Amino acid sequence: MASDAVLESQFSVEGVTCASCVNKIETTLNKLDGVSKAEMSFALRTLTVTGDVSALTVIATLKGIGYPAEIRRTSDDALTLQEKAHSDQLRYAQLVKQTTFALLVGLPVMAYGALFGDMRVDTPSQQSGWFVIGCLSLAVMVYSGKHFYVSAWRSVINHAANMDTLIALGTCAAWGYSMVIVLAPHGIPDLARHVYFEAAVMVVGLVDLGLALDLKAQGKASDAIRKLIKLQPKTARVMRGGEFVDIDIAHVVLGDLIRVRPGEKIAVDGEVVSGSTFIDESMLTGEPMPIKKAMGDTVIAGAINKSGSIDFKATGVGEHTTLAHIVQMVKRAQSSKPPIGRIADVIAGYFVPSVMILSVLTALAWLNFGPDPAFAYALVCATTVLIIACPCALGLATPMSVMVGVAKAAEFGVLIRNGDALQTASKLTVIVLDKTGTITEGAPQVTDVVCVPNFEEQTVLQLAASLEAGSEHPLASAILASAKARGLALLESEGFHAIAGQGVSASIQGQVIRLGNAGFMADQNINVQDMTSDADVLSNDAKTPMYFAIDQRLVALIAVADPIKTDSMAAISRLQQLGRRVLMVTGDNETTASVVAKQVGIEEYLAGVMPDKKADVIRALKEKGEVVGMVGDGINDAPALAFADVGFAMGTGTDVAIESADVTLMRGSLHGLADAVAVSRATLRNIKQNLAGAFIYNVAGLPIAAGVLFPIWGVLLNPVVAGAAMAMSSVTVVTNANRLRFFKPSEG
Amino acid sequence: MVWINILGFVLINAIVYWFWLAPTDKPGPDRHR
Repeated sequence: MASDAVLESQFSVEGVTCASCVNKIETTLNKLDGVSKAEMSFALRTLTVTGDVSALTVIATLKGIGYPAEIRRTSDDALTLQEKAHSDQLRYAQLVKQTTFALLVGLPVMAYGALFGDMRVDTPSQQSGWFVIGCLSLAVMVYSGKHFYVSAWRSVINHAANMDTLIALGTCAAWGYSMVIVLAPHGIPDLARHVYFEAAVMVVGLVDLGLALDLKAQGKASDAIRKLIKLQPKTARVMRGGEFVDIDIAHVVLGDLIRVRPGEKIAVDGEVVSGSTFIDESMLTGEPMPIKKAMGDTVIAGAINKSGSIDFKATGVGEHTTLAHIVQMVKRAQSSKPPIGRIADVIAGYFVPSVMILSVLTALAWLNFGPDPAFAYALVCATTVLIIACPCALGLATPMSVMVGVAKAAEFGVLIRNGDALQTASKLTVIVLDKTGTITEGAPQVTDVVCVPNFEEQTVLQLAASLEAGSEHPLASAILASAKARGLALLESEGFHAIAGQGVSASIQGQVIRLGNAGFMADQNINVQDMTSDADVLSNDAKTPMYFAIDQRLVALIAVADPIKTDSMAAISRLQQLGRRVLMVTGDNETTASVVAKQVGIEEYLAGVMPDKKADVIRALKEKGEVVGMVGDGINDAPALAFADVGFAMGTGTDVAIESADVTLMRGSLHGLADAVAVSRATLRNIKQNLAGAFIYNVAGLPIAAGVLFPIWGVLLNPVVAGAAMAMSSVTVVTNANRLRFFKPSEG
Repeated sequence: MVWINILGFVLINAIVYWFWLAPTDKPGPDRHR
């Protein structure tokens, strides 16, 4: 892998309060010399930097833009999450204290203003009273609002601006103006001698309250990943020195023998060596039914052992378990942004300085054209404009929904690689399905054995399996598997002879046994007339019939077919109900293709398409303007998967081609595909609602704050109301994103 | 009144200069140019 040569380091970053911080950190670091990629995980507050750059430079740069950071020495996600949960808790407690103090000071002052008249400064006693209140307000701003001012200052000296800049400017303006009136009331026109201490204090308090609520809701949004990490047990019962002992999971090494009793969780990936049981993998693959596991089967970490006791050999430990891959992938996808989010980021970038300009223009307009006291009106409106603007809602809109949506998809066994895939999956117009392994099981099975009178199915299968024992042909393995399933012993065979694409022969117990197609039998002078009608019936049902002869006598027909997965039809009908055009592409012949298509309810199909030509089919569809999703098994369909707008790889629980596709369907069922389409649609809808809400809020709020309604209805917005609205707008966005957690794709 | 308008004009220009135009070796996060 090329990335082996590139250094990757991880940092824990503090002070990341919202998505605009993530954007700020990423853009700054991506411009650093030597950095090839910087990705911040909002969920874990960790930063991954790839490239040739020293950790000290990264830490210094982060400090420069206001985010203290330290290098992460552990790759233990559970620990990081614990640390984060702990620091979030402390921060939440701190915010609650800060909010309480601000509201304790602010509410009585506001109540006084509402109940006992205006907050004017005329007499010396009013002057000294308000001076005390002013000092108290300053104490609130220092204790409850320090983080705004520190962050605002750090951004401004770096030529940047964020939500904190606006809060800091607005509250400072309100407090400064009020203090000037208190100290020198006679320097200000009589009508404008009104103080706004309560505005400064309440805005700080309400925004703190909003941050506290945000923190709570964000904690909920990252629940999913916490749940995934928790799936892995902390200890495993491992064979050491001849007996099974409980040891820490970190000490389990490859090749260890591990025992799991009923009700326990599988600790690491492995292969069953003894015992048999049913295992529930639903948390990992979304597959609701427990799966039978016996010797030779693979088990994955995090799955629950339901019934029996098994011993298995560890084949994947630590960071190399399927569960660890899933967690990594979900985390990476959660911190990636779909294109729709990037537009919002660009707008959010221009937003804050624009609001500052708008605030100055508002003040000028009131000063020039406003009624008396123009100065007070100008101050109130300019301040309100600063306070009501909420770039955070814009910045939070996309990442919050992506975070919840990606985690939601993972719950259904759908692993989405990144935001691009998520957005495109919601817009797919055509879904191209590979037949083998996608719609069908992918492994041919014996479906029918038709015998002439006096011959038994068992005998025919036993002889056929013995004949095919040495062959590696897929049809041979189907016959061998069928014989094995019936517990038939294989017999000695001699003189095995195969004619490619025709048939095989050998001698068993002194008889010549032949198995092959009609042409092969004709060459051997065996009459197949009696069974041609049976063979035709089987062929028309998408089965491959083979004639079976003992010496020169035809005795049976063995039909082999790749069975259709039981849920394929329901899943395809769900896709069609979602308004997607479904197309099947297969290398099989026309008859098989048409039968399978008919059985699962697909109207369009292309037969006889070799694997390397599947990409051409996708290209042709794309040229017609379709947005194409391709579903395949991820190995021989790789070019077509890569060429499609979104490539879906069918994983079967364990051997997941996680890295190869845009979306991995862990369940190995087409329901996963329908879930993926449904979840991505719901997520995109959620993002659009969030963005629309945030835009409408800002676009409507700013002019009202500036006072455009005043000339018509005499309506002016109070800065306190603006502060509450601002806090609520980002809380609304986060809450709306959290709604996605309850999304359920309809099962067909 | 005139001086206040001039002050406002200067302030707007200062904002534009500081956040968009000022040369800096520290890349500002909000510069998406």
